[in-house]
Amino acid sequence: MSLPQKRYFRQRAHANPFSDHHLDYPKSPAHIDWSSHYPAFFTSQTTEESTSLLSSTREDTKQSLSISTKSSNLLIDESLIKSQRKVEFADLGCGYGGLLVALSTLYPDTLLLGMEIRVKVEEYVREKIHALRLQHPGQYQNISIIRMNAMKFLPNFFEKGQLSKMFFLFPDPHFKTRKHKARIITTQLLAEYAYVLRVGGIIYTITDVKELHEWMVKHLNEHPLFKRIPEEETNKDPVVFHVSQSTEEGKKVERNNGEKFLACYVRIEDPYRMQENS
Amino acid sequence: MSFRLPFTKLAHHPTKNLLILCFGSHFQAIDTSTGVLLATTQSSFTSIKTTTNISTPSTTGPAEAVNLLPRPKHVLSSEEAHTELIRSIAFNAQGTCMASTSENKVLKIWDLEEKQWKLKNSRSVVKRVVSLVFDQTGSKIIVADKFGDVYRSFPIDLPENNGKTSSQLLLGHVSMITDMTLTPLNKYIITCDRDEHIRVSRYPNAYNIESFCLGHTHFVSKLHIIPWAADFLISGGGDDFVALWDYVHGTLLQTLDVKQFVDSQQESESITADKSRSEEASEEGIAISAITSSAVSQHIALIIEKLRQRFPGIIILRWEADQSRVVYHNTLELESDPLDIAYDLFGNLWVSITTSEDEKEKERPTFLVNLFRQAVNDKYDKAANDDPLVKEINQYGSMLGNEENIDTLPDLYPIGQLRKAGTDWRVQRNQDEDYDDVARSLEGELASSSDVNKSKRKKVKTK
Repeated sequence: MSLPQKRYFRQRAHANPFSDHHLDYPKSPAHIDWSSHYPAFFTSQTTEESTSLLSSTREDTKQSLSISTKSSNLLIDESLIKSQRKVEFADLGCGYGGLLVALSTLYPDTLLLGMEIRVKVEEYVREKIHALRLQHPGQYQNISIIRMNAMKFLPNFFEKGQLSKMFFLFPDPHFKTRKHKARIITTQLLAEYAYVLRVGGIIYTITDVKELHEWMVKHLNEHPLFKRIPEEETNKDPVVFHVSQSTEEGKKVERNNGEKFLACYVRIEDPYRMQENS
Repeated sequence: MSFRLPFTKLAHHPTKNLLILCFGSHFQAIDTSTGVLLATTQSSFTSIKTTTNISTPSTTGPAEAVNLLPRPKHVLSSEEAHTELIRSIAFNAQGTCMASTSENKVLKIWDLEEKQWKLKNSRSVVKRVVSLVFDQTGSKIIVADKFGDVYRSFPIDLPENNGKTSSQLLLGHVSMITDMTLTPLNKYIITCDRDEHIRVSRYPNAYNIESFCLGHTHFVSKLHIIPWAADFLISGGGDDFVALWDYVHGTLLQTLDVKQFVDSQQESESITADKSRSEEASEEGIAISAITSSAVSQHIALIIEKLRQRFPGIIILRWEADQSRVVYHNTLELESDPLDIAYDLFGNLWVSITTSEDEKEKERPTFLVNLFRQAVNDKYDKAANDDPLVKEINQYGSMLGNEENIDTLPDLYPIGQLRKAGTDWRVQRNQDEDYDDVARSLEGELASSSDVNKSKRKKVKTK
């Protein structure tokens, strides 16, 4: 199977995050069946078990997990543990999925999810992942894509502290002042990102629009739950190369000799709570 | 057509026997222990006479027909009143002041101290407010707006003339916020939106989200912390059920189907009537437009809006403390649709009802307020219409100057409009649509809807 051709999947670059799209989203993270996204990680023997686990409530999941680990008595049921694996990296507005493909082989045991609001772009990435899996048996099983509005429905997909990395690569700049609320980094939305990101998890932002970079830095700096990672540290992060080079947008900027602005932030404990405790 | 303007919003004082009734841009206050009208912002009321058609037969003598109603203790200047429909109202915990907001983005703080009753100050807010609440110190007021943001405005008292308020962004949803509540000890602020979410944020560090309560499949319109069991939250909206939550952990504890009680009520009413109509109505969704409770009876009362066929009743739920859950208690029947409900300090339930029929053509006058007294065995007795507690307020009505009736009613059922238009996404999933055409910005939507409201409101003027 050959890779899909991008020219058949073109769509306008902008989608309105505020309107009621026909989106399919779960009631809560407990209502998602991830086995269709990562079949290799949710093997057929455990499909029934895992889906029943996933469809039950969080409390039930914990309970049945503790029961089964008890009953297997130190013999850890590997497939069950695999089926309990959760998405850890999320690429918000993943576009044509360049980063997902690049990180897939770099982190083969981590589940990565791309999120894209544009129907055709999502379709392209889905077909691309499907083709890659067929072309490279055993590989690219850990990446998937979902069509969704991350500004509205992120908590429907991820539990508190589930993610360890979030990517915001070349987001829509929304230049007009009245459109600033549509930007993906805002004071309000950072609270939701901090909710799904565990303490120590990292937000990666990159853009070729200086004004947007300054906006993102300003809002992240002002948010009490994020702290900027100094440049010398980000340079050591193996992900940063791909953040800058692996996406379609990143390559385009490169071709045009444009400038790229990177900013990475780590999720920290709430300083307010620490004050309270001390 | 001519209508009596109904009371669209009720709010009971936290510690005193005082009920605020909003109508249009005005409000009145009654003493819930005596039924006496205490205050009004309608200062031109003095010329109002008791009209014969709403007096009880025994008092329709010619002498009484020209009697003036007693003057309320506190008459607030009409110039200080709101100029547009009052949508939200809140008391501070101390009960010393009250805040109200109207459709034209004005927030007013009223001093309720005995013998004072005056407008403290008036400030403008950025967007139209959907919910407001004082923090427990009473020094700050928190407003949630239609745009999805929650701000904290302070101070409450402004120095004369050049007083300035500070406004601080607490949190925001990328959706229309529909309701907001603060937990009794102010540890959490809870907000809900049109996109099925209930968000529990810490307070005052609201940038730190404690949990999400997820399980609704349609908009959430009302949140209610159970006052005597403050770890529990009840929510309702466009779903057929009310949900009970352990909100700190975001755990759904119970869903109670309330639509069945609405349907069964309507079926029993329309046994002889057109059957297909009641079937049609039962397929249609409901919208919960009010949730309130009384610590006296541990009852929770609900108002339900239906789209085509209204529901003239109030659903009462009972709290079962040993099992920490709600159960159906009974349904209180009304002559017309309820608009808002409030319990007083004795556990009596005050209900404002709509005036759907043309006053002139009606033989019986419409009463605007009903009262259900808390009786023995957890039952409710409906107060007669000449009961002293409701007589005065029903005679008074909601008078707009010298003219009592209006031509067009304001929009009394805003909650059902929160339902998302078009086909349910669960039915019409993965449709390949060009949503660039469909897409309208939130600002656009709000602007157009407010335009519609404006044009509606313009008609609500006295003849």
